[in-house]
Amino acid sequence: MPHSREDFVRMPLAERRHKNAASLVKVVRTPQGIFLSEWAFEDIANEPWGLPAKRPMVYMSDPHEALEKSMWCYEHGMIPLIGERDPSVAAFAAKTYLIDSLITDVPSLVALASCVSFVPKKLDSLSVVIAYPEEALAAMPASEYAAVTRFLLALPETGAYAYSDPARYPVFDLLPACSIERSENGLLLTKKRALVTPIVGYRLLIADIAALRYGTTSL
Amino acid sequence: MTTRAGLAIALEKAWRDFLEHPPKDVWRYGIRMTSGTTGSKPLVVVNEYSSSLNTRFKNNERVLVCFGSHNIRLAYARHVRCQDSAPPTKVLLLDGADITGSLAAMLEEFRPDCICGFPSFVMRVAQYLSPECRALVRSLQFAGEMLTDFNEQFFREHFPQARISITYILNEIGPVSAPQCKHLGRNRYHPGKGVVVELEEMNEEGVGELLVSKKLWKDTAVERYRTGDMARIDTTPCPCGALATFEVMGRLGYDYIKIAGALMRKEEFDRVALLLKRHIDDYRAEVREVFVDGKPKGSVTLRVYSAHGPGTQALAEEIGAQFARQVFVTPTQTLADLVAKGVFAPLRVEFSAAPFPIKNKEVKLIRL
Repeated sequence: MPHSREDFVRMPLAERRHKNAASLVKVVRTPQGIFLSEWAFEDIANEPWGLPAKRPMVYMSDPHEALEKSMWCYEHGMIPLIGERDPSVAAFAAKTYLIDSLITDVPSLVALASCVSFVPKKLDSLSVVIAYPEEALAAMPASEYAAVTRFLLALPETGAYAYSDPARYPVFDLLPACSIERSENGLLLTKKRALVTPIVGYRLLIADIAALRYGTTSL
Repeated sequence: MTTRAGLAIALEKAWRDFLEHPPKDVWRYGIRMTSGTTGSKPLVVVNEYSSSLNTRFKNNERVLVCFGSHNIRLAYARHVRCQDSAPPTKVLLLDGADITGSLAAMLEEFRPDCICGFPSFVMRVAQYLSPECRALVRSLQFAGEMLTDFNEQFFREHFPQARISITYILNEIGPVSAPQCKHLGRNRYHPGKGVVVELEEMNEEGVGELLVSKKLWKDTAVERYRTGDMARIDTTPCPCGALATFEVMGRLGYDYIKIAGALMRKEEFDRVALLLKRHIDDYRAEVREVFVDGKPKGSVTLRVYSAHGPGTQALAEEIGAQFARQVFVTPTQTLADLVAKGVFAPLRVEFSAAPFPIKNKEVKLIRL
């Protein structure tokens, strides 16, 4: 079982596969190396990538992540608009679909900023997937275009594990079925779900989070 | 007849209806962009997927999808998700940016038994698959581009266990053909359910522009929509029971260019390029009409990339002469014959110092 990115890079997918289910396999590019990450469709559905919406858009810089989040929309009864690479084309499509929610990451949100401003009405929700807590700062100005903004701390191989919003930031709340413990090696994440590749005591990229709460209890 | 402008109106009508009455069974629908049918603005359209697509991977465990567009790849993920197969199917949706040195190791881990995509994209990916991995591939499913003789030969050699099939899909109106039956050869299709195909302006070889009639959305349909593709229709019943077969010859103005009484076909250019592979690793050909001494003539410029690097002017002339002598542009005449008759200017060859940029769809032959 992998306990770090280095393990993911080193271990072939077949050795990390702990269940056989219909699934999406992503190519994950990281500074530590490139690896495959397999997600059962049922597990994608269990992640909290967005909020219920009528016309969601997914626009992310990594196409594998964008496709995964789009499948999440389908799993939750929504037909997603997946933004193609060119921000102006994506913006045009967003306006045409009258999007009411957006799942994105910071680089894509910045590129799409002009779109957010010309969406006819305020978005119902904006979900920004981030790898580091401080990334949320760059997304903060866009929160004025959405009734609800969430910052989701996540890694492609672990899924989401904590979230915040503009009012609570820099406090992050752990997501259900996630636990984190501190160790000499940094924060270790465990996801209490039987994923294709289980996440148990997995070393996160961040040494610490200034304020991380489990429910209402500070860690 | 539905014109391009008429199609845009029909698609917009369907789109408005989709927004006003969103469907409940979301898995049957997808949203995609088209590059525009009016030549001015792109369109966002809704697609309804046939339930027959949900069985296309029933015998596959690991499907590799090679299309450039996110929304096409999403449609394939949806097909995999919607099917009920045992053992369960896994899908890897490859992006153009994934074609790097590390791809070989990724594919070695994934070990696809089915590959879907544009033929040109799959050809690029095939170079990263080991012979052992290629031997595991049982199915090659193509769409979006014609399969040339060269492509087919390449795939048969590199994927000896794979059944090759191709579906005819138009970006602006979706699938036109049914899933290819086992009796059909390359670029030959039966019309899909509810689709009517006809030809317009047929030439003496029975080739004309393909017209398609089909339902787009509820009460919105296209009637005799001009596809821009040249085709031939065969009404001999197929052993599978289908009563009509159409064969796509190429894209008018791209794969299939009529100029100065000659017919330039990409497939023929590919054939000759292969004969001259000692000098040509890849090529792009531009065909245009030029005026020489006040008279119109056909003109072909061949841009050649060779891994050995650009050659001399003398070599360019030699390649040009050899190419023109071997490429047939009428049933009985080569380009050199038409140059000798003064119908065409001599073939010009230019070397490209770098490989041609990789695009989602490869356009090798184009009319300017």
